[in-house]
Amino acid sequence: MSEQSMKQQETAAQLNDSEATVTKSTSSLLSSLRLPDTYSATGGITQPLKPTFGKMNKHRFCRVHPGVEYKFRCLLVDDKENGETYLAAPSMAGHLGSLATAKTIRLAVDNSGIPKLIGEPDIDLSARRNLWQSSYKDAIDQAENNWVRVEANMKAGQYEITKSSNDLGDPKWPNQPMEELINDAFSGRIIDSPDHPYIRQIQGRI
Amino acid sequence: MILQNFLLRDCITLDFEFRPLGGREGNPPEVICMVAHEIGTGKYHRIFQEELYKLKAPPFPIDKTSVIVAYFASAEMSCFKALGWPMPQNILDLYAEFRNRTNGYSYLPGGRSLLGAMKFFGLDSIAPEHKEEMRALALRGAPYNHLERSSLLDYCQSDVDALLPLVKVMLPEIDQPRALLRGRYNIAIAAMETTGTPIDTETYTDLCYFWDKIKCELILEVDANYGVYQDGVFKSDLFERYLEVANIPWPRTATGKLKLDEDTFKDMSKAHPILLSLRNLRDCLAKLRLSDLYVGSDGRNRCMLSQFSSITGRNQPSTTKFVFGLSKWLRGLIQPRPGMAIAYIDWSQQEFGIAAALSQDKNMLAAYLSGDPYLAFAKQAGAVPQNATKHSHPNERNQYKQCVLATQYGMGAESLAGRLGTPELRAKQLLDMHKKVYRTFWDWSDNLYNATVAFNQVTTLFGWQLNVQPDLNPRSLRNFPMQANAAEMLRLACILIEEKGINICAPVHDALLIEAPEDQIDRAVVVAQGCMEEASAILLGGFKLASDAKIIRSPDRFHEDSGQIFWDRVMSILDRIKNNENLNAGC
Repeated sequence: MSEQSMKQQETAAQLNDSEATVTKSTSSLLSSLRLPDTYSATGGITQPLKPTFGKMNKHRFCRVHPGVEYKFRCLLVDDKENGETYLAAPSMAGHLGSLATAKTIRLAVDNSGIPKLIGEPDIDLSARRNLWQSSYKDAIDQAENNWVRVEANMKAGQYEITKSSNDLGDPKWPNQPMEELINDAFSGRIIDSPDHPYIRQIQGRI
Repeated sequence: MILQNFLLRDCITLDFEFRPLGGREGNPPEVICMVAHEIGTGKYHRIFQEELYKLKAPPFPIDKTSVIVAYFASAEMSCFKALGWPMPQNILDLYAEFRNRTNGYSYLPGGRSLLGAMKFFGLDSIAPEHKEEMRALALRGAPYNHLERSSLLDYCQSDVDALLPLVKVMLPEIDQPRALLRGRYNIAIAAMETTGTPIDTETYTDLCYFWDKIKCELILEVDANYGVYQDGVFKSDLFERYLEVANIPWPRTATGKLKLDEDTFKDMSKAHPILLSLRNLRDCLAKLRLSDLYVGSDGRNRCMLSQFSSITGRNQPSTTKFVFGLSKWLRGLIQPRPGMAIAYIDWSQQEFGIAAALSQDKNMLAAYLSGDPYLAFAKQAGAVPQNATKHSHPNERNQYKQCVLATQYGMGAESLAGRLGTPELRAKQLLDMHKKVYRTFWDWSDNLYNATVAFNQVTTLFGWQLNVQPDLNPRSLRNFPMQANAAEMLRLACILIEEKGINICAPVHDALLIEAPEDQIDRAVVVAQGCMEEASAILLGGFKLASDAKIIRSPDRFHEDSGQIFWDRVMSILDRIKNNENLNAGC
């Protein structure tokens, strides 16, 4: 190695050393000027979505909560004329007669995180087979462990169940207890007195 | 380098009068006079041109015990460079601080100038008419008679004197350490404005001279494939007919007319590449004012980089004076001199990386670290197998890439669908998938939005703040931490790179163009990339962003992929026109 190239290497090494010094001191100085990250400071708490009562969304894959804490046996009254569904107290059964149907309310959620309460029908094994009811019950059973999409097939007279072929991940369950969800979904639509306008209407009372 | 806490008595207010060398825009400054006022001692320095050029350093302290105060300090630092003076240790730029204080305000009674800042704080200032008169005198250049010299020095001193009440009123609310960091960035800006970008002046001159003829030829040539121009004018009815024949669905306005704005053409030409030439033609005819480009007598493009001018704190140079502000195909004018090379270095998927680091979304961090976040997103969404590559699944990758970019631009499903050329439902599905896969990021973003609108203020990690006004677009607000911290990152990188003695020609949004002798460019790129990585780690608490570099050696040109075809087309027309001119001259 010639003397000149050795000198060049030495100079380059010195240059690198001085560069390293400059950068280290500048870097540590710059780092010391960084403000604490406050972006994650709580800016608000988003309230959970309130559920509605109805059928599972036919356009979305859904799951049904399998836990007993999210099953609620009750009487439901379907007022087709006004497009309303009422939740009735058991003591109102005598006033409502066959208009009240015993069902189990279940919690469902679709893959966009929208919660819904749905009515699981009681299957009367002694009665004539109702394909609508049994296929819907079947869909709910499957939805406890799989993402399913449920759509009425009018020609076949039953619900058509499509199981997702993709892993859609874990469902995003609401964290409210079932009682709160039911109160939210049926707010103003609970029949718990013989003087409820619906009972008065079916009894011809004004 | 940075005095952590300083007092008014440590400050030296400073102003220069200057003009571009020889009066030609694009040249570095020719210093005319300077006035400095040492507030602590009350001493004034009033020095005219010849004396200034004799000084090897400023006649006042610039070490760590003092703070140089100026308004738009990059101009003062450019004068330091022109005089060959060493740079000050501490700079307080009241322009940057005034911008920071008022950033987001939709109206400032006197604008952003020194006079505007004085007006904002209710301080007396010199009449604007007098200012214009003195500016004209400075621009005229030497020789100056005794009276003119005295007037210029007095005028210069009036600005220096105006800085005293301004700094007095602003200082108590200034976040000093970070203000000095912003001040320090002015040295890097001055270095970039002095270096400039090398331009092929011969081609530039030809383009300016023959532009009218080139435009006619361009329309004829490009329009041959579309038939939408008549007598050199774009006709929307002809374009509608073309779209029918080509079977291209086109967005319309509320009144049913074709949308013909720049963004629509940009999106649609991405979905239908057959339209790219037409889009470039329209872009070039609408925007090109070639003669406005600032090119100095040494063939370098230099102009004000207008630091801190955008809401995010980014530089905002003129779109007509700055070569990177022109249509992309014109970047072909950028050409290193013989023996030299330039390199374009940009952070890889910078915004995605910043979003991942700030939100600490594990999926997003993993996607960034994979090296190809777009493909990683497609994998995380289950749209492609885990062993997919960008070659095996280019279409899926592109869809997920466009989705990531759409979320960064705050684009809705309709615009994304237009860009992808897919039904809107597909775009919705992709955007939903982004929210699902990157749920932590979206929760973070929701939280940030709530906090921002609660306090009406949001700040970067180095103190650039935004006062949130009611009319601010919520999507821009959500994107502010990514955009404005990206601007901070660029400033940190420029400071580090400039300290290493690497020549930066220009900042280009979130990228940098550097220059070095051909045999040193590889090392310069390594050093610059190291600084950029360091800057990202400083900003993001240790998370390092990678960068990509493209080296261009003389005589190659700087080309953007999407611009080269149009550049080649224009060059072939230019050659043809010049040959015809030569033939005619021969006749």
